[in-house]
Amino acid sequence: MNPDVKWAQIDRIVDRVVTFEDKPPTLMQRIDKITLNPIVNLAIAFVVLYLIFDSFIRIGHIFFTEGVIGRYIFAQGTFYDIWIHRIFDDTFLYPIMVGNTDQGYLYSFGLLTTGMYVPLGIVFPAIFIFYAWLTVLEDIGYLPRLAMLADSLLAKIGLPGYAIIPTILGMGCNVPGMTASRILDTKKQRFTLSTILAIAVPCNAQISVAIVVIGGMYGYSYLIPVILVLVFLYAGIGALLNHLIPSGNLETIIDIPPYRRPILRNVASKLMIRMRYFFFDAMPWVIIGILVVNILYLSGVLEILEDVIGPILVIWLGIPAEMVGALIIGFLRKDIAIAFFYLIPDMSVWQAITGVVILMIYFPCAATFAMMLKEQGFRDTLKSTGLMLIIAFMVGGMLHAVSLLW
Amino acid sequence: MRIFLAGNPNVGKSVLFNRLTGMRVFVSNYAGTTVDYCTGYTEINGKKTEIIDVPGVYSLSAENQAEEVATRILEGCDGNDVVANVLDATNLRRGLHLTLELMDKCCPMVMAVNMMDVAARSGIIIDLKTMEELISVPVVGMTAINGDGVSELISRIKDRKIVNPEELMHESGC
Repeated sequence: MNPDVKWAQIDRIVDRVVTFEDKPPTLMQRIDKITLNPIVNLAIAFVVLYLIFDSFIRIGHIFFTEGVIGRYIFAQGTFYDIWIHRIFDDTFLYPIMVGNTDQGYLYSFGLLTTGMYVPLGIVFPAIFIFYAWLTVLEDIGYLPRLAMLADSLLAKIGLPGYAIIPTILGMGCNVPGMTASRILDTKKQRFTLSTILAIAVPCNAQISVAIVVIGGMYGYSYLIPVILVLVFLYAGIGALLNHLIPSGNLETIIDIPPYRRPILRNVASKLMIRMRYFFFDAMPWVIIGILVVNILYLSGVLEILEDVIGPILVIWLGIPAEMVGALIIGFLRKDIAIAFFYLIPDMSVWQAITGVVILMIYFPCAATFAMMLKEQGFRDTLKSTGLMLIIAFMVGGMLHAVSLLW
Repeated sequence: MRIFLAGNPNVGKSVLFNRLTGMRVFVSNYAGTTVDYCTGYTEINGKKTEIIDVPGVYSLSAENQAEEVATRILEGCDGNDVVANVLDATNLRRGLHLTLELMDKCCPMVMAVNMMDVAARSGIIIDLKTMEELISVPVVGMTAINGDGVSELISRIKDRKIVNPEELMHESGC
């Protein structure tokens, strides 16, 4: 059917079916009108991002991780502590299940100590708070407005404003972020965004490493260089790929839905689905990771790897050889690396920053890698991975150079 | 018989799907939440019926991944099935464009005009009876989020009709 005829037909139906009556604008419509102003929108974006980040540190880390979970459950002398010691003390399972708890649960490397404390004590509060925010913002209809704001910026790297949604999802966990990158129209955009997600968008586990290691050991202001490097990488990789991969110019339309009141039941059920994913898909990897560390350590392989790869990393990146273990285990899960970082004696803040940044960018976790293979295919995943390793090596070297000049 | 839920993005197809199947697929207030499709089952007159949540699209021209998926799914729809075309009451014009394309596919159809509550609050009055006369398929007003109109939609499925959009134009006098 000819489009003109079609639209004429549609208009005829609408004219006869729809009538408007004068009504004062609803509260939501009034809010909508005010916030469509770019300056108000930008101000709101800053406030929202600040609130998320602040509640992350204050409520998630300082209150729940350190104040509650790390004090009353996963600590020496608690009911849990006494219980696991009673069961496993003097058994052959002791080094694997419990480990040495003298210096706390973070680096005893037992399945029931570090293996439980890292996912439940550190990552769980952070990811819960993040997803609670995200789910509410999603249901209100805020994300497309953020997309509108990001549209002109992202256009410079060949992505539509909508790419901000997978980016934000990726800050919870890169796996759903990669799935969501399907909302982009072209293969080029999807490849670009997945590569950026894998390299420059840290997931909650990686953010936790940064907060605990850099924030906790040296001060939260030292997180700023990490954020700057990631923002720079996001833009840089986008620009590079936009330049390398040919494409036609695509006009994209952002559909702005009306603000809606979030429905508690929907928010709660989505939050539950997301948390279930964390428990059943992410947590097993932490346990496997700790097991692998134990096996590598007990068999002496870790020592050999440190001896072989260590010198290269020490010379090129300026990081201590002990960090090698963290980087190896980072292939499986990033958050366990916190434990390694804590064990390194006399680490300077620049070494910590370099280590954390490399941990964030050199490779996504095993689950994300599997998702990339599924979504992008073998060849494109190989390309992304190559780019990742090159960039991690370059960025690490640069950070080292900066630290020498400091 | 299978029921295909088809419509523009963010008109409430997934809400309706969750209502009908008791399942929990992701619902968000932005376009493109359902890129893949979901299927579930519900019981209609004692018979187990498959429900398919088609990704939201503005047209069936297969220009992006969602449209490709939607077009492919709807290809499988035959005379025994029914397409429940979900529209946003506050944006009928955009929804009807897809309606005409669905009619082109010769699918038996019913129409659900969703978000009647939002439309009423914004002073938009929709004459569902005239709508039904004009487009010749059953039309039901719905507020899926609190379940209004969902059972009426199910009861009208038996009246589903295949309509040729070309004929539609003659009937409405052009």
